[in-house]
Amino acid sequence: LAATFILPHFTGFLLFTLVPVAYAFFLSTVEWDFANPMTFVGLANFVELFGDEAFLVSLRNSIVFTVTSVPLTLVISLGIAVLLNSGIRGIVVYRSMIFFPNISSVVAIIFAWKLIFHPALGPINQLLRLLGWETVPGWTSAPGWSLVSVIIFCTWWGIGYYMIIFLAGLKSIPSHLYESATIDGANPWQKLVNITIPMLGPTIFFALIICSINAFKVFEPVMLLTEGGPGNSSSVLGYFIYKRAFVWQRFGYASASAVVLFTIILTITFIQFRVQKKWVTYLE
Amino acid sequence: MKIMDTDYTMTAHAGTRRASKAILVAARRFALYLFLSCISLAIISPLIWMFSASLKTSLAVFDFLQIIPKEVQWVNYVKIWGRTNLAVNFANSIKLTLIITVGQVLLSSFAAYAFAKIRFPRRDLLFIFYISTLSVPFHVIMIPQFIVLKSVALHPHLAIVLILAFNPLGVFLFRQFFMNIPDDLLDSARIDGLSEYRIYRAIVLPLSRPAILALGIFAVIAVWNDFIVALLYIYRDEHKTIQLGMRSFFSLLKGPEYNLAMAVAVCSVIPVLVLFVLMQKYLVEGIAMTGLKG
Repeated sequence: LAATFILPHFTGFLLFTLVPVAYAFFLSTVEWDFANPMTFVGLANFVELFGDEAFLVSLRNSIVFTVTSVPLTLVISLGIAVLLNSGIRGIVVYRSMIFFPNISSVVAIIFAWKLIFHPALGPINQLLRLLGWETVPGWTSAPGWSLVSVIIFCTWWGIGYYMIIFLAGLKSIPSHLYESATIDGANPWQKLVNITIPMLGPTIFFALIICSINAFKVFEPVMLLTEGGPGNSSSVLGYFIYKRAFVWQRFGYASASAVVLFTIILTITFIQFRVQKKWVTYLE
Repeated sequence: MKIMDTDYTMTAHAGTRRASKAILVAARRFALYLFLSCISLAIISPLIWMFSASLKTSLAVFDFLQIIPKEVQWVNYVKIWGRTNLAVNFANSIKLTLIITVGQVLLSSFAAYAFAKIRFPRRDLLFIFYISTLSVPFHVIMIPQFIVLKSVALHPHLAIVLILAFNPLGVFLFRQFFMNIPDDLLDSARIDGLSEYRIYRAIVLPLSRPAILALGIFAVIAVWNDFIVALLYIYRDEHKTIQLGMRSFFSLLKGPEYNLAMAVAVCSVIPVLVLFVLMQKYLVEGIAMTGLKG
């Protein structure tokens, strides 16, 4: 009986998620371009990956992207959430404005950002020139700045989402803790450090995990803002995989790099499970 | 007399101290509102810039001090429709969004009912397994999916529906919600001889409006904004969704017609923003409940 309820969803899930995952591991051991017959190559794809300059640059960029964009996003969104939670009026208006970027079409907003980042005419560089900068950054078209542009965009894009997660966490902190701290003469900073952040520990940890996973998966902003360029200067794992599979038709090689990405994300998820056991239980 | 004197000065001191404290509190409040307004405006400014540019002449687009256009060009919003297949792109997106949203809500609520309300062996183990696949990145499964779906040569829209309709997140969200529906209610219905299907249909679903709306908004936003799945499966202009159609529009600009590009961008963003403004309560609750998104 239960099966009839689960089967419709489970069938699709099996066909479009489970089977593909298994198939991806198999594909990572072959060389295949769709047109010619598949050849089994064992672990050769992985050996090639770790000698492939473009892959190593993408891997390094993914790590740099994650360790910079995640703290930036979380600190800013936590700061905003704490301020919004301090009993102000009009919270819905502020919350909506900050959340808007997160639900806007990435194709649309990135085209706007490309114009905003425009080296010669964009508003950012016009402003910098007004402020007296002589050599303005080349943003998306300069090797040293392209990844920075992606980080700025993604931080801007993600803040609203994590702000909502933090706001939900803040609501569940009992208000009597703050009341007794006020009686003891604590100032707002002491309350933040001694009550808010410890009580929000599980939420912060959870947001950290989700944000890191999303950072390793980043694809659209890179594809649409810089196409990984100039050169490979802003290529990340997600873009590397996409390009090897759907531009170069190297499905086996691309699958091998996807397996590397999967391993990284599984490691993060595993850490989450280990730590979260102490804090949260999904099933009660 | 002496005592009275000190008494008087003390109360006076307390009075001024209270007054200055009140001023300090008010100043702090004001600074807080000012700061939050600046931050919100800074965050939303690229969207304001986009809207402002869409109403300018193409020459004025990069005049960034001109936030309110000198000559408002509403005609930009008329011009864009003659260019590419934007109307068809919108229709395709609306069609896919409706089908996939309804599909996700029905399929996941159905499965979640069993996970929450019917006892069967290894139920919770299967559920944990289900949820653990949420962390599988799309980049891992997209290549096998592509190979399989290409080899059976499905219509691109059907391929997109199949890929997006089975969302484990929906099962998770509905299960969490159904767990709060008291078992007694269902048990008494069972005693009255209602089948599980009737209970699901007549009791559980009507109670689940907030969950249906939350998943519904998640799905609408995810499908409307989907770029990568459409990118992989759609080649022909007449099949393109708004995201791909918009991309072709951008690549076919004749010269610096960035005002028209921004008009298209605004049109693609407006439906989702309106929906969000109307239904944000459910969306926010949904995010808080799942902590995850599509």
